[in-house]
Amino acid sequence: MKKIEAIVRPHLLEAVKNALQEVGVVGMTISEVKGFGRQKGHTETYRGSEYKVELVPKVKIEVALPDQLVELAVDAVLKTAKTGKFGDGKVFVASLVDVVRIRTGEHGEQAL
Amino acid sequence: MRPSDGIVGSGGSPPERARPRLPPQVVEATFPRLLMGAREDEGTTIADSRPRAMDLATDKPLAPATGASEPAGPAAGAEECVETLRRCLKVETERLRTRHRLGLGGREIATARCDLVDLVVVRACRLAASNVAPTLPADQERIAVVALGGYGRRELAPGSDVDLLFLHADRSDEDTQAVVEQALALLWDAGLTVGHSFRTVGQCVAMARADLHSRTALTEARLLTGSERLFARLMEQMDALVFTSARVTEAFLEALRSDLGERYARFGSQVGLQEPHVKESAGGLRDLHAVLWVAHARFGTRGLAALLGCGGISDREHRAALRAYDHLWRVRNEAHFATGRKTDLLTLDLQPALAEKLGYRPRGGLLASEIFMREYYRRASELHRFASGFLLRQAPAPSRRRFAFGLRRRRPRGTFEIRDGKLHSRDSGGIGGPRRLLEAFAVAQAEGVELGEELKVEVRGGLPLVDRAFRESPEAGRALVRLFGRAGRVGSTLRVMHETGLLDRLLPEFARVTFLVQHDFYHRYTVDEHTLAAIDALDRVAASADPVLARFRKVLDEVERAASLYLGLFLHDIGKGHGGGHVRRGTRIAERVCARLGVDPRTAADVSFLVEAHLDMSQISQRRDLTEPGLIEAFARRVSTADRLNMLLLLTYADHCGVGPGIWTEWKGALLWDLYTRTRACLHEGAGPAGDRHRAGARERAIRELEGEFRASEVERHFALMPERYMRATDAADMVGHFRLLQRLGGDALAAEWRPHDHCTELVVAAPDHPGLFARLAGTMTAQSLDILSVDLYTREDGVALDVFKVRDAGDHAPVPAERWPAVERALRAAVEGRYDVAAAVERWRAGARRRPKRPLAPPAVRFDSLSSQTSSVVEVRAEDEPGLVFRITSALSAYGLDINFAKVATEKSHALDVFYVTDAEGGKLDAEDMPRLEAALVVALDPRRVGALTKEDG
Repeated sequence: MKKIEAIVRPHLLEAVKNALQEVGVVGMTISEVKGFGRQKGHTETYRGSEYKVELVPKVKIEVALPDQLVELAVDAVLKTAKTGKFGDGKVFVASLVDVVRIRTGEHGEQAL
Repeated sequence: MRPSDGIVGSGGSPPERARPRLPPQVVEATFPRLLMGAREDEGTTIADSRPRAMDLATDKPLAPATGASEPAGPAAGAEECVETLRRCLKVETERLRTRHRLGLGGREIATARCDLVDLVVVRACRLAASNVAPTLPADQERIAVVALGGYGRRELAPGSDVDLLFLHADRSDEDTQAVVEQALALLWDAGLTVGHSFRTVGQCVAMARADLHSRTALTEARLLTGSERLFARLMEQMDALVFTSARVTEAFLEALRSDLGERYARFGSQVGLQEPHVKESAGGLRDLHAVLWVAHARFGTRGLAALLGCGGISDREHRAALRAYDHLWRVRNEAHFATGRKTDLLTLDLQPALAEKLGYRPRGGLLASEIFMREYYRRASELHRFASGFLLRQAPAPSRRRFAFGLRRRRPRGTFEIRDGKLHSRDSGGIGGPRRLLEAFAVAQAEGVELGEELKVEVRGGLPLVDRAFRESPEAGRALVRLFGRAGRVGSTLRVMHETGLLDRLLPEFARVTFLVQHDFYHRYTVDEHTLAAIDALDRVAASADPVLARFRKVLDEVERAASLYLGLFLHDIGKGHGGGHVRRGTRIAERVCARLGVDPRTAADVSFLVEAHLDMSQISQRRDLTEPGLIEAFARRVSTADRLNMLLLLTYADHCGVGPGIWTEWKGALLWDLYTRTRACLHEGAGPAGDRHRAGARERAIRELEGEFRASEVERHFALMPERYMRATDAADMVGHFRLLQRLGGDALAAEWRPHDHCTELVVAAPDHPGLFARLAGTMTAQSLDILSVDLYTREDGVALDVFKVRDAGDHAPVPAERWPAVERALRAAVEGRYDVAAAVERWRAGARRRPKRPLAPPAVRFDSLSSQTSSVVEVRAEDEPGLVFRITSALSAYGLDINFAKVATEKSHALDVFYVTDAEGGKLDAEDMPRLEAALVVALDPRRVGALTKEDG
């Protein structure tokens, strides 16, 4: 089982969500986050790059899925979240040790 | 080591090296078309590139004959271009590295890299323009790409960022922005780190007026590609509104001065820093940049050559500055190449690697890295001197004092006079003889003023006159000794003497330790800087009214001859730099120096003693049980007089202060004063320290006090069963408290009592003794984030342990606040009752505690001492400090079957020195055969790889 964390532009959240659902993802967790990458938050070119770091608002989507869906899901995110400019975001893929459904106590893939 | 053809010689290898012949395949460009194509195009603007899609393969424009030509697949072109650029950068940087290794000078490599990056930037911009806006009309001047800062100066280190300004016309439009965005994407993807800004001419000017860094960055602006007219307008406006405006310039100079102060405060204002920053520390590259900026502000020049041309600096200065600057660049390049990234801080780990790669070899007892760093410091101090002199001339700080009557007047002093608070020479006929040089310093010291700049230059000029004959003359000796005798003003005088080079001439022994790096964890400075800092500390004791130093000042007042003390302090580390054994060698050198200076025999003997014994007080107070009979007497015999004891105390204090900030602590002070007072008492009362006699009555007094409350037989029994050492070391009030605590214990697992002190907290723990008890307690305290400073362990013969801990908070090194006491007690109780897995807790705390694995952990060192204590063997363990160290050591000791009677734990930066007084199962000292086996067991137990393996050893 794997967990995907995708950091994307806020206005593209709907598109990414729909694309993921089409791929077969059933559940996800969304949070509003802030951050920066190599450009230190200066993605707009009308601001000068002084020696400060800016925090840019983004949206984080977390999904747990079985291994066979990972590639499809990542592709879906890439397709819908990419604009080609700085600030498109990143996808992190990590291994999951276990998943538990609280109501029933099920473990593992059946709890996904 | 003369530079020739831009090749900087390196110490230890033949100084002259002909320019090497580079093998042909290295010379031949790997991307000939890329390079040549770009060069041909230089000078055209982006807008000028009419729909002219480049064929990246052949780098020839596609035929535009049919008018509107199609760009050849822009998206695909961009990716290939990125790949090409990335490869180009990688390969060319490798070539640069080769040329650097073959000896090409620092600045040449920097310029070559700049040229490479120019190529890449221009190519990327052109491609972005042709892709995004193929229909840009011909004569627009919409955008100019400008290099700023160091990049503008044509100096780029291999790992440095690239600073770009995208200058655009006032009405910015989408096309221009899109071009910039794509160009940036290409550059980032190609692997460059770009800092960019996107501004109009007006915005640039506004920023330059307001912000120091923007102004200096724009001073060195250079057009890369794009509209020349736009760039020219920028330069015009900058000249008119910023550079030539007197008011703006004055504000700028003021800001530069304070920026300089901040930089030195952050990165070091002394050149002799153990880990200098090649760009920002005193004597670093920024010092020269500051000169260039001020020169531009004052004279409008760009670059050192121009400054020389307009007479701002002399030819000699120019050459010295260039030489130093080039050397620093070479070191910086090597640092970037060697680590593969932007490394400007020369850490202790890095220094040997750099030394080796730059061709330095060990010689004359010095390591390669020491020779390398010494040359670095020499160059850096040359650069620093150059920059300071220039800045003082061109951008002096406005005199803050209102001109009082006295200052306005010139005060004559023999052949000198005091003007504006500084010493100057009265006649302009040069410095005269070497005698006069010393006289200058003597007068300055007597009057409490500094030497003026011109006088310093004269002194430096007069150095060749200081020959061997003068050095060995009695009057030079007398003059020097007088200088050392003026308590409170010695440090400042010596510093200027050192800076001008006079001190090294008069005392070549000191020259040997100038700029000598000390490779250990404690010392933050080179040996010479450390010595001067220590003397400054002593001056502070003498001269300041700080109540904290009052105790030391009283001792200083009792010292018979201040010159002995200062001279001893000055020479205490003179034996360093010959490999090991600096104490013995230092003593011999000190004797020689004293003889040469013509010092009287009594002073010479005192100085030798101080140098020989300079480590004793700190070692004894921090590593030995001061209640041990015979220890104090032995030390008192060594010191032999109260005067020497006083001097040694002050020397120890000053030595610690000179090592670095934060080295001297209240805890160490308490230990030192303890040793001092006991030794002093011993010296005064002759045989038998007064402390003992005082203690001898302690038992009786304690018994009397307890009589009312408790049954006499119990009290007697208790004292009969307590060990001898307890009687010696404890005073009556404590004995009473301990007895009460033990009564409270009863049959319980543990009883504890806390007592706060100034700098630590005392925790007394009573518990039934069993093997590994101490290890459990120590481990629990570690897991509770407490640092153990010292422990007195006593075991009553009926099996009850009474342990007196001195602890403090591990985080902020402060005494433990009362709110935490109950939690700690609970944890201790649980540990003793076996309900708390101490080893696991320590491991958890270890994992959680912040660790910086900077260096590979050095193996622990174990030393045994069978003589210091009459009843126990002393085991000293030195190791890299890490959480749970005490726990591991004590677990290992218990596992070996040893009893621990006393412990002192000291941590310095990341280095721990833990001392344990142990006895074997029979209660005697360790046998000689046991020691190596115990040592091996300890080393194994402390092996950092054995994490989590100490779970079952605490019995």
